[in-house]
Amino acid sequence: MRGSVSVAHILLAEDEVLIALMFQDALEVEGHRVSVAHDGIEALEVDEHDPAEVLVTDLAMPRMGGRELLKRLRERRPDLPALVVSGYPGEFEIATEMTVLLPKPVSPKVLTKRLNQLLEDRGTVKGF
Amino acid sequence: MTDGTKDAGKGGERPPGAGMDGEAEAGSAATGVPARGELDARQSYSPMGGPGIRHWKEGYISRPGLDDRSSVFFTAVEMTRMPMLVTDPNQPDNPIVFANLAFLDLTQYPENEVIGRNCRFLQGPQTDRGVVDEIRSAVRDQRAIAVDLLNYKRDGSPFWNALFLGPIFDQTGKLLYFFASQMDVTRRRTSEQAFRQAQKMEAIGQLTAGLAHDFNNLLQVIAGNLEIAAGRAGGDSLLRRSIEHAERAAEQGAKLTQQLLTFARKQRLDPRRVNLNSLVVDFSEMLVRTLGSKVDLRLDLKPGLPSCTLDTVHLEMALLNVLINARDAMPKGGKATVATSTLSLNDNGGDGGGEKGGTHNLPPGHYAVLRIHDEGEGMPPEVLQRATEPFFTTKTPGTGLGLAMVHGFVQQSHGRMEIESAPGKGTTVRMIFPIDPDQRAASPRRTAPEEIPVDPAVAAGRQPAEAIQTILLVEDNDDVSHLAENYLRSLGYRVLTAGSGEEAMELLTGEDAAVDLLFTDLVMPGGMNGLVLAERMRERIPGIPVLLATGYTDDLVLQNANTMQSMDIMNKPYRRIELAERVRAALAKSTGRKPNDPAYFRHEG
Repeated sequence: MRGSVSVAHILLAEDEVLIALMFQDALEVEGHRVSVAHDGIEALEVDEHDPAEVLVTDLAMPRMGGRELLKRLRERRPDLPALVVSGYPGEFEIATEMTVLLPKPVSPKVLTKRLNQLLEDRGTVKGF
Repeated sequence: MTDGTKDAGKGGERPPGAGMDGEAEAGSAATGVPARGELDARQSYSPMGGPGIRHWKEGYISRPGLDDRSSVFFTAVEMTRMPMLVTDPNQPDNPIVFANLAFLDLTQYPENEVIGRNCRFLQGPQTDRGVVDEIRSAVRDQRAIAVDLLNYKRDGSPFWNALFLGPIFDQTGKLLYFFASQMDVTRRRTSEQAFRQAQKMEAIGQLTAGLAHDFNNLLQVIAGNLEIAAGRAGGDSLLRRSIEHAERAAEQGAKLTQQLLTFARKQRLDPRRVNLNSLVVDFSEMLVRTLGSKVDLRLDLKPGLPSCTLDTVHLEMALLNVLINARDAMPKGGKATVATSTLSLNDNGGDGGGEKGGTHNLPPGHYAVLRIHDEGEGMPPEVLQRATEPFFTTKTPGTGLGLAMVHGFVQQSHGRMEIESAPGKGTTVRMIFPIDPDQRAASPRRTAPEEIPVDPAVAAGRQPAEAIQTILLVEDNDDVSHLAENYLRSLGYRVLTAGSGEEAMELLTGEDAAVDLLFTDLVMPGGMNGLVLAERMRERIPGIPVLLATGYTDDLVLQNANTMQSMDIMNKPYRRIELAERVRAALAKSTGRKPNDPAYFRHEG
């Protein structure tokens, strides 16, 4: 499985610094490149200069939450795959196949596994 | 003071013009020193509703003796419902020399068992010695005192006595009598105590919830990093083992925080329709295994029990917790009974033969009761009182979270847990849950609650040829707001959104917004909560139906139950199907029924 999955540039939006670091480590161990932002606004700025191929975002963040962030990014790139970390069941409704919902707490193993699945499904991931 | 005579300075404290100055009147009228609020009302109940200002704290009389019973004042003393007595400190042991009839009514003693005895015969095993000492030193110092004291009636039953006593002197300042009044304030003390206990639980709950939430995040970080580390540990077996142990600890920590959240009523519940009987039967094998061979499990299930909407996993855990307690209470074995029954609570207790709702602190309605009884050692009152407090335990080892969790879960499920226990008499735990209100009207479609018509056409079909209805949605959380907005739109409603009460009122003035329903969060930042908003809005649009969403089901809701007439309350987090139904029901009020029709008022607090 590992061999068939390419590495990707991931935009990670998570306001809890320690969780962001953990996710970053887990993703980087898998070989992905990770840009970290701590809220939606920061994520939009980061994305402007260095567009990512996948979004991993928390739902509840200060200034701008994950829902709005995803909406704005999809305005830029409608087919952007996204992994949304949600605290409550039913908090977020999946609109497209390109969105994966992960209930909290998320283990790094699950995160990377679902992300790789998402990238595979997409089938258009560019290698680095 | 040692000779029993007040110093001369006392005279200066007497109220001016009260008869002491005029020679002609000298000796004819009693005088006194006003209390001036000096008696500490915090320690004791004041029958005046506040600190006494004008009533005397000491009296001066000119005609000692108890024989003159001819005046209106004696009649007043025998008629008043305030128990009173007089003692004579000049006799050995300061005996009672007079007790009015209200005192005899209160204490149930006949007069001949009172006169001649020192007041201490009212004291008993639980009477606070410290307070008794305070009274003694006040008597010794010949000054007034007001305290609450636990006393006992003739039949041995205890009562809280709001005691006041003060000295009575002759005109020269020589101590003649003590006057004392009593008042039974047991009910006030009890409800105060219950209130304090509830407050304490609420405070612990809030603290716990905040803490557990933070801990959850930290544990996630710990567990996550351990997982990453484990993946890189390679063949280092010691390192792997260390990581494994740390992971196990993190897991246990996560379990503990979940339990804390359950106690704090912040647990995510997944309620579904369930019949208590089938749940007990399905779970009985597990229960039997847990109880072990020494304890005999009996089931006493009421046939045809209506179903409730509950989180089954949590209910099973609650049942298990209570039964583990039952098992531990019967180390030599015995019988544990799990029983179900129904309970109807009336508004006023008068009609229909149902019980009064207030006795269970539940709103009127129909309830299902899950009762667990053991024949164990039972609990003394001081243990019983704290049984649901988190971290309070009598077991070693014990977490003190079992009953706290059960209590939290039942509360969050709009029910109530009650414990009855006495040493040697075993323990009975009752979990009382509301029965699904629309049970009889349930159509087959209702049995699959997640199946909802999201197609606007279908939804619109239910309100044929009617204008599109507008819902004003007020919610400060963007995510929640979006979710509700989208869903309501998909049902065919027009939706206006506002992030605060102020914003909502502005929306209303801005355009000719015809709003059919106010759907608002109860707790919102800023000055206007959902209730205030509802009131303001009703000034603008009289009779507009209101649906309140709240994550906190208790105090605010109950306190404002009157205001809430004709308002619907929905608990957060709510399911989509629930939202659809509650919105429809609330809107039906304005179209079909009168807004105040109690038939539509569903109290869920």
